[in-house]
Amino acid sequence: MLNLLALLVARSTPLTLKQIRHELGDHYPLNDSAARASFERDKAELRKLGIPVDLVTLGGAEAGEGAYSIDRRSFELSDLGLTPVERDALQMALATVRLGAEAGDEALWKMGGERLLAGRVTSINLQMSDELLESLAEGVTQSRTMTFSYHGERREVDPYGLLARGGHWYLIGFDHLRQAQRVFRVDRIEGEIVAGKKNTFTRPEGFDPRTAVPTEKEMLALGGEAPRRAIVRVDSTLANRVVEELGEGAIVQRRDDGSIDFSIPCANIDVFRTWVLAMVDRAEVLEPLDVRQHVVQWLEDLVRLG
Amino acid sequence: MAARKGKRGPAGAGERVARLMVMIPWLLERGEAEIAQVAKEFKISEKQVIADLELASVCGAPPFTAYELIDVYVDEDNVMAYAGMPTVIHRPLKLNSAELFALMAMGAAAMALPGADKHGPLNRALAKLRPLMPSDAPTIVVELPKERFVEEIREAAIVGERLSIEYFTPASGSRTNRTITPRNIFQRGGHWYVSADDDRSGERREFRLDRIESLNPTGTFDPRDVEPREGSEWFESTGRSVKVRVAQRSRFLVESYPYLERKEQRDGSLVVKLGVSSDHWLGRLLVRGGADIEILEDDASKVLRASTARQILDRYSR
Repeated sequence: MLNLLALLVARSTPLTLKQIRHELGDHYPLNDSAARASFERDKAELRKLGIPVDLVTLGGAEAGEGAYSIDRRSFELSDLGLTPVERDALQMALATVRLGAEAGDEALWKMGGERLLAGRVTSINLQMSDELLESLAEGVTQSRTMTFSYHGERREVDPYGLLARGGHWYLIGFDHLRQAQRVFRVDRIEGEIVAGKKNTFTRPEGFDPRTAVPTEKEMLALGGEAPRRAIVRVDSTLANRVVEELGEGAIVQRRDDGSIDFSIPCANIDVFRTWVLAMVDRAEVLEPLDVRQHVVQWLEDLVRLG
Repeated sequence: MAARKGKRGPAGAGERVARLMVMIPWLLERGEAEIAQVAKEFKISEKQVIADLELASVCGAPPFTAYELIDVYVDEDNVMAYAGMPTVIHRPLKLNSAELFALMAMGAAAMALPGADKHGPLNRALAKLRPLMPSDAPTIVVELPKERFVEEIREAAIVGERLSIEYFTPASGSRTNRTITPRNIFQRGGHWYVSADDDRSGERREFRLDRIESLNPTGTFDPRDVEPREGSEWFESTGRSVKVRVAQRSRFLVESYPYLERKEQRDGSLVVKLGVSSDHWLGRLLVRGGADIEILEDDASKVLRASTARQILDRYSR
């Protein structure tokens, strides 16, 4: 395969298989069909490496015959103009962040860098399997429509971008099934992701993954019903955490015992209940009465369930 | 490009060529390298390094003059690579999509660290990579949890300084004062943790940063840790487990936890066996999930769910 690559890169004009076999001597079998099969395997392997073998159909005396060439510009990395300091900074970043794949190392080698093997004081784990990384990378970096199963439905999605937030990866894209932009939790994608052809869509102007995925605070306010708020009393042990999470603006009253009453969006009752029960008995819904009653009923049902 | 994971037998021709296409430009960049260094960098044996480079040195295009691919000398310990004239493998291969994605994501994560220099060399390097992406708009964004004390703890870990902390334990609702020597700080599953030598237990423990209420440097230093490592035992404490079926709409409650077994069901639900870190943690999970979490194994968990629900109801009936 290396000899084929060397030959096609060295020659300025395309070569037919016959010429290739002649030039490379005993590289390919004498039998025509075996030689063709072996050549096709080499071509496929080169393509897999990112080295396309171009085919042109000849005219004149060799009319109809295929001839092959490789343009080194099609597979060589152009000079990115990274300074040694910038390359070192990338090395440091790659030593700090774990993506669950080796793609980072390989990129670093291509840029002439080295893996930093020393121990690390800081590490960030972005948690993604090699298979997912490869599939998502193809879709996002090459604008390929992706097809996968999600909640049991077949989805066809133009992947606009990816967001890592709160320990999860989110894929944001145009969902052909719903005919609208949707957010998909990457770890809930079921089975294989199939990528379509390159450059099949363009991203909307001003697209930003950060604003496309609602935060927990925004989730509390989302819902089919009219905007509503509940008053929740949080004990002193957790009150400061809620202030950090939702901001000073959510405070209704600071009490003498250190507990705080908060005004919390509750339009989405399921999200709200899950949020408030995460504090177990250190938080209590005070009003409105129907929301308080909903939480009480939920708990009574669990006691009955035994 | 490293030795294939989970595959046995000799490397295929495609794999060897793929490795050479990366290794040769890497060697040309350096001119000379020790065989052991090359082997360690590319995670292959020294024997394999020599075999690969010997293969490269005998390949080329007719009339098979020297230096077609690379001019490589291999002696006992060193590889010397020269590119005195144009060779086939001279520049590295283009970054493939997975490599570009990994660089952008890992770079974005490092830029999200507190104290990252927004105009520093990493940001400039990422700016030079950005034209390879399909759009000028941010396509891959990494947000790290914003936590107090990340920088202070990182600094302490670098120099081995002991810190006095007040630590909140949700299970008991109590606070403890401890002196810890941070060894490394890591982010996983949406939280920051510090792995530290803890004076209270006399052991190395993991602490969640959002549970550190206050922190003060002590001015006392311990020797630096030789091999800092990411904590990994943080969720394997009790050896107890629970097996549950979680309805589709409540799967988000369990998906960030490490699991011992996991099986997707046809109806979209998930059967999962989870490690149990404490009764408090499990009771809270079961109450949040309600009837959406069906307990399949461990009747004690049903009792715990009911008792946690009663505990909360007591508050509402005061």
